[in-house]
Amino acid sequence: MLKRHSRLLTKAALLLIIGLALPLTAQANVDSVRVNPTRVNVPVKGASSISINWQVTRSEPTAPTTVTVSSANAVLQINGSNVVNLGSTLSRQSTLNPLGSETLSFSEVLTISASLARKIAEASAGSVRISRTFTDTQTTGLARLQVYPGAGSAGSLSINRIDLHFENDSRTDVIPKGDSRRAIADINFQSSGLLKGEWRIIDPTASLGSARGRVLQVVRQQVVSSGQGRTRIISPVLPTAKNGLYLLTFSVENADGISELPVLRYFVLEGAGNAPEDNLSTLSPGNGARITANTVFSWDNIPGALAYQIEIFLPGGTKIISGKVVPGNELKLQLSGFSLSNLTSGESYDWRLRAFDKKGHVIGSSPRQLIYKP
Amino acid sequence: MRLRINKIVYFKFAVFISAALSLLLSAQPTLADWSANFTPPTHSKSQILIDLPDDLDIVTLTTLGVELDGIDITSLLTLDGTDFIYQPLEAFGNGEHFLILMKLNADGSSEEKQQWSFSFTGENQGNLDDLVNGSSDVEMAERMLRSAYFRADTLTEFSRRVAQQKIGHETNRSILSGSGDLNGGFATGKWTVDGHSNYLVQSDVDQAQTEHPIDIGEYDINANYQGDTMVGGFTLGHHDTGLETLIVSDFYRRGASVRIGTSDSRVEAQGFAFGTQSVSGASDLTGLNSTEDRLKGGSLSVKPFGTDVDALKLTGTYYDGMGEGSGIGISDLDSAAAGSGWGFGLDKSFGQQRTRLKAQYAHALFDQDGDSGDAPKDSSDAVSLLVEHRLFEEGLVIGDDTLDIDVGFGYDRVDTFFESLANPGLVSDRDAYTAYSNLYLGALSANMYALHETNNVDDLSNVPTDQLDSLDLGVNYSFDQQTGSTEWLGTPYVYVSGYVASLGREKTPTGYDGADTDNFSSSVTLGGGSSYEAWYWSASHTYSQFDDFTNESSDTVDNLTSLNVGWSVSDRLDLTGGSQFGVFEDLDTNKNSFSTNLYLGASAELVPNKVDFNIDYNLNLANGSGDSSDSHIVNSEVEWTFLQPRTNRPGLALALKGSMEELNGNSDSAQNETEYQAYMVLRVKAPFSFTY
Repeated sequence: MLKRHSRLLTKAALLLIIGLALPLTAQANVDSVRVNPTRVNVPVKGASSISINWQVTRSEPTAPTTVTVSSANAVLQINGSNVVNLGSTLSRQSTLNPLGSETLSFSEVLTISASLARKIAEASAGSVRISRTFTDTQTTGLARLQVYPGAGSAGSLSINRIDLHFENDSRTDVIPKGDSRRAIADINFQSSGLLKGEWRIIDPTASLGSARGRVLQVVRQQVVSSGQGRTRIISPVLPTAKNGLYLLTFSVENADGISELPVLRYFVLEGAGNAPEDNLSTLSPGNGARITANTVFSWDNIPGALAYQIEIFLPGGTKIISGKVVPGNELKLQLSGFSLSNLTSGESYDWRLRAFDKKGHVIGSSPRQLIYKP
Repeated sequence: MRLRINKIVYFKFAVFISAALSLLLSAQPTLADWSANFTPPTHSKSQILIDLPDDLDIVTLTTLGVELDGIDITSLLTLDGTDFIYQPLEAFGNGEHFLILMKLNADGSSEEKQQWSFSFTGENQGNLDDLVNGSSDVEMAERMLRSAYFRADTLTEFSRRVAQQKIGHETNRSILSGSGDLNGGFATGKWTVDGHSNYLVQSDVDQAQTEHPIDIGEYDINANYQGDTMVGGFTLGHHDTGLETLIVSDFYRRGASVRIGTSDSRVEAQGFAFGTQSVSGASDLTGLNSTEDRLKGGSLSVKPFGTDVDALKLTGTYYDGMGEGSGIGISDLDSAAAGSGWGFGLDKSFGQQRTRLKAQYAHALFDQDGDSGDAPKDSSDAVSLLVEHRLFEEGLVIGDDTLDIDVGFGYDRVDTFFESLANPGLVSDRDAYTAYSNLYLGALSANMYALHETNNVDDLSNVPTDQLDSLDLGVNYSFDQQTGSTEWLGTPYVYVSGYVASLGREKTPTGYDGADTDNFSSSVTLGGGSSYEAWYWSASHTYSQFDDFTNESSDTVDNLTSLNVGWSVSDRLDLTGGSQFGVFEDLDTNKNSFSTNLYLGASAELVPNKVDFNIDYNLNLANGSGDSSDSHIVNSEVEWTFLQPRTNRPGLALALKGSMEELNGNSDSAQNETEYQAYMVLRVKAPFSFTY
């Protein structure tokens, strides 16, 4: 009886040793899986993206081998239950000599759909996580990161919408040679941080195929929001000295979820074209200002201007009632007494500024604003 | 006989007036009475000449001003002997023009000395604005019956590649490309119709905007009715409704809209339908082909109590539709959505708009991922209030300048899930109080904007609530044109702008272990510039700092310096240059990255009206922790126009153009590479214009 018990104990011990030894041997291959960051925030509304880096450390205790280290997909879990598979297969070859080890790095951008964002927002705090299991065909390793709803940590700026257009709202335009035109990037973002962007342009000398762009201007702008924000970035005056097609884009960091940067096309040719609208910025007077002989009209410089002309209209009208023109090297003026006398006391007027180049083309025009003659 | 001075003397007449004012006060004109003669322009672009008496003394000369069609042109007059000469900035339009010679009195008043008129008919290209401006009703009606115009500016290029190295992808050796801008219109009775379209040509469809080698870009057709009591119209193509409400705003797409109202703007109604995607090409000409990518709606504005400038205006807006908000020029993370919404707004001002009040409310139903998605359809609201007030009735006179100060206060509450397909850029999930002020004192302008904002407006129990407090400031000042020893400074201007912002956590939900929020960011920009004779320059420096007190992310400092210069060496040679240098410092990791960009360009007319040449050089350097290959790019073109284009007669030009880029991998020579591509181009420039 004792002998039988002894044999049973021996078998059990052997099984235990084998059982312990097998996983110990296996864990020697995929030693660890780490993930960075270990926690992320996703907005409660709309689609968003998460940039993740997985680091898989493996070692080879015996013979030299080449294996494939892979993971089929990431899994999003809420309260321990699998909700959805995310991402695609990550895979890399790993070759190690005996007793060697290496760390493989896998980066991916996971897209969180609007419906998934809503589920995360409604789940209890701390119950949502994303995990990935990596295997080298023999052993496996797992890492998880926590997911929380909300705007995210400081500095985790995320761009989720870029709307490029010209000042006249168009997105495909034909522009007279030498015209003064700018583009506008309306950018919606989440969280806060330093927006690092570049206006990049492909000139007609390259737009037929070589497609090499140059940096037109570097943009660095701190943007802040309590969660969601919007900012407007205005390009420098666009080049219009050469005939042909220009391609313009605004490339920006932290736009991982945006697969393709928007591109504007404008074609430059010699012709009268349509006069630009709303491409001049005025500094004073303010909208609705009382106008007197002391009122100063001032504005931003526009390259190539031969003259600037203030024009005053009846509200909504097109006929010029009064105004004044000054040379292009002057950036402000005051109306003369006889120009003011063209205006009736107690009446409101529209005014705008226009810029002319040496060929008589209108190269700039400001939006209309209101003034009042007391 | 007039005294002639061989050399035309250009001078800034207005400056001269002020300089001679003291002399004027103590002197009397030597001619008690005199008159001037006027030589009208011979064609629409020729000079105006006012022939003053030869013996008119210089003091009297400095007391004169000239007004052309209501515009004070005194500053642009040139003096040829004792003649005033004015070169019009743009061609005179059809109709009558008025020229007035004014005499300025010492007390600041003025009196009309003489007036002349002249007119042009039929010389200019057709322009419907010309018909509306400055014509009597009968004359305008007669002309409208037979008025029509068409204008086209086109450029077609046949390009043949003559050299290429290491361009990484296939491009066609011969390419036909080009573009055109077409405008046309006609007027009949009380209707005016005008249209505009552009098109793009690219035989290599891989490089084309659409899948077709020839396709239209954007177009619009407008028909407007201007009656005695009613106005109306219809627009098809790319346009914006002009509405700026919580439901519909900044929505420029292809579609159709119809509008009708009273001529005094007491009642205005509009109906519209737009595609939600930004498109070009002729495949969806109306933009409304797809029911799954379309919205429709309308608005009604009423001024119930009057039509004066302060009148109360009530506006109601409605829309519904479905689709995506992406397309040409737009990249958006959001998928196809479905939504509808309505809202109303109130605009009212007091004291000739001294105080302005604007209030809006909107309600939206929005399904973020459309009917097929899992996300629920949200019902949400938004409110916006704004009050603006000008502090001084007529401005406060300080020295020679008038001080005006505007102040404004606003409140915006936009629910967490509020969204509208017709206002895709609207920022939701914010409860914000704002205060701002604008100050104007002569050439000094300043503005301030303060904000207190919180998120999680819907008070979701598992979501933290953050709050943002920020203050923005900006000041601009334009100096007078410098004279004497500082003349070289030209007409300088300076500006400074900056902001500080503090972001913190207001409420943390139970069980939340996500990132905390506690940071401070600030930024300041100093800049200025000037124009002096043929020179202009501008420079700026921006310093930005970010401090994260939670250490979730790095503290950073960014410096960016920019300089731009331009010099018109002559009428035939322009030089431009610009440089930017940036340093980004990660204070936690002590990693710095540097970026340098340099641009140098020259544009020259080598042979007048025959040979043009331009070249530019661009240097892009990125080093430090974000090191990448240095890039040197040269673009150049020389164009020989052997047949100048004229209206309705095409012109021909031959050009050689190309670009070259050299990449320098610095430590990694494997990245060293030189690429170039050059084309010989035959250009056909064809402007067309017809009037009827």
